[in-house]
Amino acid sequence: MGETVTDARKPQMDPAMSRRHLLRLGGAAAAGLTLAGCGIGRASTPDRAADPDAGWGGTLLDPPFDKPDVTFTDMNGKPFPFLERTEGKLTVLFFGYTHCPDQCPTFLNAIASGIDAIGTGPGSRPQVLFVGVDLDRDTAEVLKTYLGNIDASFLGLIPTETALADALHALSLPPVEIPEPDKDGNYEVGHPSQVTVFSPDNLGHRIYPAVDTRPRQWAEDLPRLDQGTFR
Amino acid sequence: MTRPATHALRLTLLLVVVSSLLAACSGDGNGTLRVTGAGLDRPALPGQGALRLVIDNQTSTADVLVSVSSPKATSAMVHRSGVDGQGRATMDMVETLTIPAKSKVTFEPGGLHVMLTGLPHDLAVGDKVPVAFEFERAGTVNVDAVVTDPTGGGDRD
Repeated sequence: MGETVTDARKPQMDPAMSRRHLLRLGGAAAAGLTLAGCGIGRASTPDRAADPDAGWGGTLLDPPFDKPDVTFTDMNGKPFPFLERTEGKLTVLFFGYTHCPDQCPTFLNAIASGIDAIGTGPGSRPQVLFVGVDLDRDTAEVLKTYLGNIDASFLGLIPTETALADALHALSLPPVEIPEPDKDGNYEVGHPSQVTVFSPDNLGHRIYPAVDTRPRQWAEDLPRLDQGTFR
Repeated sequence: MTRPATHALRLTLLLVVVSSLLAACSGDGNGTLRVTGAGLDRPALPGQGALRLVIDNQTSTADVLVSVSSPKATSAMVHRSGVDGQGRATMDMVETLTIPAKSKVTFEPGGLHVMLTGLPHDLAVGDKVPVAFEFERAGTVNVDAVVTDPTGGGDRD
C-alpha cells in the first residue's frame, strides 16, 4: 500500500505497470474497507502519506507526467499546439472515438455531470479535450456533432498518425488498435481506457479510469486539482 | 414444436399484450423471464446508441439470448466492453448470452450493452424504441426502451 507509479515514463505501459496499478487500486480498496470497519473517529483521519489516493478518484502519478509536445488540429480547423493552448489550465485529456457506444459517452457524460455539479469557482471550467483516434471516421463535423450533444465546451481534436503515436507514447498510454471492418464495414477501436488530468502547474498528477469515475468524484477532484492539490 | 414450447409461446403473446411499457416477461410455468429497465441514453452520435437493461430469469432453467432486433434500428448487437492487459478499452461482440436459472444479467456501462445502429437521428428524451429479444426457451420478449437524458436525472452520482 502506498506504492506509487515510479517508472511511469517508460515508453509504453507494460503489463507489469498494469499489474502495479491493479495492486495499488486493490490496496486502496482494502484501505477503504479497513477504514469503513474501524469506526468514525479513526476513519475521519486517513493517512494521506501512506495512501495518496485516499479520498481521491483515479491514481497518483509519481513522478508526474509531462505534457506531450505535439500539435493537433481542433474541430474548428485550427492548429492546436498542445503545450501552448493548455498552458496553466486545468486540462482533461481523453483519447476515444465517436463511434464508441459505451465507454466514451459514459466518461464524457459523467464528467459533464460532475462539472455541472461544481457550478462555479475552481474546477468548474476545465478544458476537456477529446482526441479522436479513429482517423477515418472522427472528422471535424462528426466531432462537433458528437461533443455538441454532450457539452458544448468540450473540444474535439484531430491528430496526425505521428502526433497520436507520440502523444500516447509520452503519456505511457497503449497504442490504438483498429481491427479489420466486418462485412458491414463496422469496426470497434481499442483506445486508452485512462483519462489524464493536467493541473495548472502543467503536470499530469493523476490518471482516472474513464468508465468507473462517477460524476461525484469528478466534482470532488476537479476543484482540488485546479487549486494545486493532487494527493 | 413441443407442447411446453407452444404453451410458452401462447403465454408470451398474452404477456406481451398485457405487459407494461418498461417490462416484459415470458413464462415457462415455473416463473418468468423478464426484461426490465430498458433504457437508451440520448445518442451523442446520431443514429447510434447503447441499450441498458436487466434480464431477470426467474425460471428454474437457464435460457440463452440468441438475437436482438428493433424496427427502429438497422442493426442490434450485444457487445461486451472491457479493458485489456495494456490498459486499452476494448469491445467484443457477444454471439450468444446464457442467462442462468434464477439469476439476473445486467447490461451496464463498462460491461454489456446492446449496440443499436441506424436509429432515427431525431430521438429525443422520453421517446420509446421498441426492441425484441429472442430467447431459446422464452421465445420473443418485447420491450419499449425509453430514451433518457445522459447528463441529467437524479440517479447519477
